[in-house]
Amino acid sequence: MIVGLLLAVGGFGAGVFGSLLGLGGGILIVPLLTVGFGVPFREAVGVSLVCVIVTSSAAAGVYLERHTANLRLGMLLEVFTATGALLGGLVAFLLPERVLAGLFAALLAFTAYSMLRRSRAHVARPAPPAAADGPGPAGDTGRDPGPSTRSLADEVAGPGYRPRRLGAGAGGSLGAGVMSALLGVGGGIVKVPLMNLVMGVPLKAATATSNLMIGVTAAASAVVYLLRGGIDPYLAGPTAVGVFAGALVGSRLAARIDVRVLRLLFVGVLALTAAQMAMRALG
Amino acid sequence: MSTIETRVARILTVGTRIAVALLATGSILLVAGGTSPLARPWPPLDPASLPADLLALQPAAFLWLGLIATIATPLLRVAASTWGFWRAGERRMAALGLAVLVVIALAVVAGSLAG
Repeated sequence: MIVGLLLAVGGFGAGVFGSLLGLGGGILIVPLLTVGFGVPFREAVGVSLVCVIVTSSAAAGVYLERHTANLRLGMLLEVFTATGALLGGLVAFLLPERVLAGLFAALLAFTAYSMLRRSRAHVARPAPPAAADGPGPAGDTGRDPGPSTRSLADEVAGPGYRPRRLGAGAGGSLGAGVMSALLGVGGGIVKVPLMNLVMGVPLKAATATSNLMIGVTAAASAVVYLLRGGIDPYLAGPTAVGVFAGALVGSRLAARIDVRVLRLLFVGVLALTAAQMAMRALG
Repeated sequence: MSTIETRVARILTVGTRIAVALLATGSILLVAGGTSPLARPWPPLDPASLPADLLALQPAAFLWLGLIATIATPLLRVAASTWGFWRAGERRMAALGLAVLVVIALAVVAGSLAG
């Protein structure tokens, strides 16, 4: 009974912190289960994928209602994230757990570094002009030539922006999908900068669209994990419920809390966890 | 155009609520029954016995159904979007949605063969 409650409480904490800091639950759930409860790495990834889908689906519904997430761009990139997740889901069962733990340690260290940089740069660098290498959205010309004659970039354009470098976006999304499946994370740490800095999507839309995509990406690999017996329902249930409740609370607290101090504190926690994961990888 | 987004948002919201409700029910039954979530081996997924296990209030049945609902929710979102784009005449977007569903179908086949 105690373990079940601890899992739910741990998931709740991961949900609150993840929501406050703009991280998916995966980056916190995998260390919680492996380091905190001694769960094998691959089992932790299976549980984490479930948690990531729950939080993504809950948040994506809100983002779509507010028209922040770009459904069309998300569906374009999902073809590649889902393909990457399928490949990653198959490869994950071939790699030794120590290799996966080493990769996760590197991801944690990179996330800590990114958060440290973000906390230093209070003003985010503006995204390059969306129409830098091509004409604006079809609507800008005053007439809509219709879906059949519009380019793909026009079809996935959002209000005030037209994504560019779709090829680079596709390649990066494939990599994000592989990473998601191998490490049980949403992959927002790759997709958000990819869409914002490379494709010229405004940060708010990039974050919301990345969140929308996470559910399908994680579902593609979760299917493989589920059918291969890699998801433990006993662990996944209490943890996912805790993460869901925590994410709800975190989203309400976000407007009232100054997350800068929290972020710095969290960088320390991530660095410490990265060291523990690295030690695990080194045996 | 916005009706597709609204419909899809509703699917995500309702699907998540159902999934979390099932997972919460299973978790409560699990904890109340005194079974440790760290117990090994965990009960395998057996779709044929799910209805009877649900009626018998077996925690694993609720948890498995919750997990299936969790994974199915974003996939339903893709299917609904694909249908919505097709009806709206956005053939290219419908084709992209279909491509995502094909990848998921391949994942089911690959997972079944490898499992």
